[in-house]
Amino acid sequence: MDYRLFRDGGEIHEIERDISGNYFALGSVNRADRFFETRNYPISIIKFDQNMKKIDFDTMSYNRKYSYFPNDLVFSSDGDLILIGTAREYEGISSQTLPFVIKTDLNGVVSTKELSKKQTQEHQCSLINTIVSDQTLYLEKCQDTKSFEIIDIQGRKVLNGDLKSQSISLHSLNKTMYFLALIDDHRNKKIYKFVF
Amino acid sequence: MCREYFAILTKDVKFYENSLLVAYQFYADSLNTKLYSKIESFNFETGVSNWHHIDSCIGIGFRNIYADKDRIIVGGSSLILHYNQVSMAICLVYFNSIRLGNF
Repeated sequence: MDYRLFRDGGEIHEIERDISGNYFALGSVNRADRFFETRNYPISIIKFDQNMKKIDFDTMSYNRKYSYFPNDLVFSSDGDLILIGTAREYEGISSQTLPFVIKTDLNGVVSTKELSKKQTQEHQCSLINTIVSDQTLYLEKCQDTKSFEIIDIQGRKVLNGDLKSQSISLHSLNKTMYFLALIDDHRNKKIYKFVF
Repeated sequence: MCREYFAILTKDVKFYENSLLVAYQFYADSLNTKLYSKIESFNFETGVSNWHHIDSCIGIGFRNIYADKDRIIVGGSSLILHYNQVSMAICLVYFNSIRLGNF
């Protein structure tokens, strides 16, 4: 076992590997200040090679009105990066959260920027997982209603259900087979398989 | 040596071959101050679990696990002492995927 520390700060949320074998790690910057409600967190992308040596570090703030709390990164079928998560917009002392989907090429040029339905502090939903397979699917988790939804790229609901204290994540096994894994804090596991 | 854990947090889940890899954080005291990270490799065909203790980068903890044929990588953050100041660093712990069978 070995480890690497990168002093750029932040926290890693997801790691993916491109076809050339380099790794892309999705992070958020300045999470160390999160207890102080610091605003305007950008997204960070760290690129490192097969020997785990850092070769690039970039921070992106697509709209300075928002703090970005990214959750997942995947490669699209055309080789771009898709980033999803929650953006928070501050208005005075209140804030609103919005699920976001951003598609960008490997040089950081954004082709799609989508901030979906505006929500209130009372209704908190976040895009937590995305799958690019035969279909592009998003997993959305709502804290207030304790529920989850899987939606396709057109925003159509594919599957929904209730959540208690489980951690939930969406995975694909092959082009048509998907798994939904739920694990609670007592380490009880449930795995659902579905075809789409 | 036995260790009692007081709180368990599930941080991330990945499927790799026939296994579900789960990254957990455990608090080892009732005040939730001592944080440990472990990976569980749960073979969902046999139902057998194996555990691996992560002993690097403890301080804030991990929130992501990644697996491919070459490596298992656990990503998160760590507190570091830098020029006499405590700051936060991105932390990646990694090991060869072959070690999965030796958990």
